[in-house]
Amino acid sequence: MSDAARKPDRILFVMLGVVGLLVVVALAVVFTRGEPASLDKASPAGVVQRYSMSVIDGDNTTADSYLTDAARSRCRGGYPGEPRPARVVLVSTTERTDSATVRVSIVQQSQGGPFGPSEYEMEDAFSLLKVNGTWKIDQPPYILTACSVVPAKQ
Amino acid sequence: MTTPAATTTRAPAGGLATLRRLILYVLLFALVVIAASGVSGLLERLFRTASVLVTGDPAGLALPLAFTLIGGPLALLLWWFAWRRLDDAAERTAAGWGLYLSGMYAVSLIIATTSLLNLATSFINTQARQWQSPLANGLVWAAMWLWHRWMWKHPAKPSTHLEDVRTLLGSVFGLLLGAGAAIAALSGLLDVAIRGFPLSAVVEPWWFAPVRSLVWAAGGALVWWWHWFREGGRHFRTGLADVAMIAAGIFIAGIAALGGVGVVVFVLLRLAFDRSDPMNLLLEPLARAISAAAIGAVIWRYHRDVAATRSTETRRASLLVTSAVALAAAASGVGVVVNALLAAAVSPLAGGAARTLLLGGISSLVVGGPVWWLAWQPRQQPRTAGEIPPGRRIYLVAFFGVSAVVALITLLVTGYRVFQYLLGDVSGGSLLDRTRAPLGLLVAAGLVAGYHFALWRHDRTLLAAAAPSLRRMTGHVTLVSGYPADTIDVRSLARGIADATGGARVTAWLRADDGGTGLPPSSALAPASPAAQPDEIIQQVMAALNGVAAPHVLVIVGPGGRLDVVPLAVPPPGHQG
Repeated sequence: MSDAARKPDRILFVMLGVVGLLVVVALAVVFTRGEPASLDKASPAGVVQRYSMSVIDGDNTTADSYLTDAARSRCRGGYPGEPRPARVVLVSTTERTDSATVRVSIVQQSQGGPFGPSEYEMEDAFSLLKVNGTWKIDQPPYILTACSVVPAKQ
Repeated sequence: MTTPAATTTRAPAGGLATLRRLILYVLLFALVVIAASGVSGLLERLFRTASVLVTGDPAGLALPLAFTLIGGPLALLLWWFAWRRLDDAAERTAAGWGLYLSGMYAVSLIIATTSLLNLATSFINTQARQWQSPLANGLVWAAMWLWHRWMWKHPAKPSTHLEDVRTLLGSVFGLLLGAGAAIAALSGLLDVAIRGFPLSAVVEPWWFAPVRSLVWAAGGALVWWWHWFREGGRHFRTGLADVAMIAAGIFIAGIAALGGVGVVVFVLLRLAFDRSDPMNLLLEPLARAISAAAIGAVIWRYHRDVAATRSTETRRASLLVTSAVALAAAASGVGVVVNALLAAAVSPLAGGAARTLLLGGISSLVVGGPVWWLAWQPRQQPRTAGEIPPGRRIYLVAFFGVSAVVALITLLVTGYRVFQYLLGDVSGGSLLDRTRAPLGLLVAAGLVAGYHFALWRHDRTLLAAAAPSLRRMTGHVTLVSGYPADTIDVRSLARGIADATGGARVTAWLRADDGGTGLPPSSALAPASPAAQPDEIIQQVMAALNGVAAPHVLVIVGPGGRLDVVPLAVPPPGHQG
């Protein structure tokens, strides 16, 4: 009887310990984590990485330098009301001689919701072309569009 | 039994009357709505005539005219027909009339309140006032509300059926409207205090929006006060009253309060450790969170005190609901912490966001955890079967079930992503990044399910230890009663024995002979009086059954104090024939 009475207590403390351990480990890992590892600038994924970083930072001029001329003239800009992209993760890279496709998973984060921030994840692809020996983005995903130029009327 | 009056005044056959009422009241509802919208359309036209320069829209007038001139007289005619029939008390207690009255009462109350408040707030505006439409709507629907209230409280033929539904609908509507608007008003004020004047302050003074919300809040509070105090909503002791009070005052208010405090903690943590966003954006949710926490806490506390004055079940249910909301917050916090941990393990191409996520998880864990501890009191769990309160087992099973379903779904999502990784050309980092949310939920759901399952098992062992050992032994009792049928009912005796044995199947028989002959009694009982109560007999039978270990028992009771208990067994197969 006394054993049965003590049993849920032990389970409770094991669970509290698990939760506490999770929090401590998460704090340690997250706060010691540095910048994302840098990929080779000459590879399609490296170009996508630099482009995405500058879009998330809001540095549109730098972002533009990774686009092809056609992409820059097509650019219309995003809508302001959308949740911002917070995180871009590489899914796969397909490289051909003159073109490449980089699939990424984009996480958008928005504040709000009763219990902290909420996230949306979606998968999209970058189309890249080789222009004068360097990879340039010909078609960025809609969410990661950023333009410094005035949208050209067509 | 054979009074002819009882048969002559009987209502018409049940099915037909219900069908008639259904058609009558649905028609009446539709006609009243049509007539009211027609009259309010005409009134609006009338109010607008002063400001209209040119009228070139005859079709716009045709619709309200048709609604008023066709819907109005028909509605009055049908109402007169229905109202005449309501002299009959049976008609007034019919479900159709109660539902019609409650529905129309609620609809007219909601439309009248919102229109009149719209009218009041249209004057706190810098733009041209649009008072005609809300005034017309408000007048007509307020008249509808008064009319239906008059029918409800009519001195000669009051409709008390479903009275609690009307009162509670009114008070819950008023409470939600008032609380929501009060949160908006307070957050408008706090936002200016925290972040300074908005850029639009040059167009419209900053206090216009909070004052508008304040007017709405006052209207909602008035409606709530009227129904809760004046109409006596707080005195209802029906199940609906308890459910409405706990759903609106404990559940919704608890979510608002806990969520608000969670967001406040989140913003403060971000201010301290994660300033990746501009300050203005960082502080944006703070005002709304503070006001939701404050208003939600006030409402929750008030209803907690009200619940404490009610039955034990209500008090217990309010505690369980509080504990459930807090546990959901804490568990989702654990899930988000795991999610952030996994997010930090992946090296993304760009961006981070793991820190924001972790702080969000920690804030809801920090808020939900202590409230759950206080409401659930995990250190003071029942140690005997008698201490297990009502509703606790339902709560345990519900939490175990919900978290098991969540765990199943997250397992399926994770499995899908893993197979996608195994079968396609997907990088390992993206696999982890796309499974981190379901994995976090899986951990949280697993912890919740494990804890509640252990408690449920523990309670079950307590209950099983307390129950008489007979419960699992005797499955079938054949009861033969020697008492005359008109002194002790053998069926109630059988039911009592079935309950006392914990669900044994009891077959009841009456002795067809005089009961004088037969075997001598197997147990010597105190001679019961001829008018022995069924409860006493059941107690004697249970006492006699206590030592019997057989799946099937024959019990012969009466007449007088006679009691035979014969354990039965199935004959071995070899001895047949």
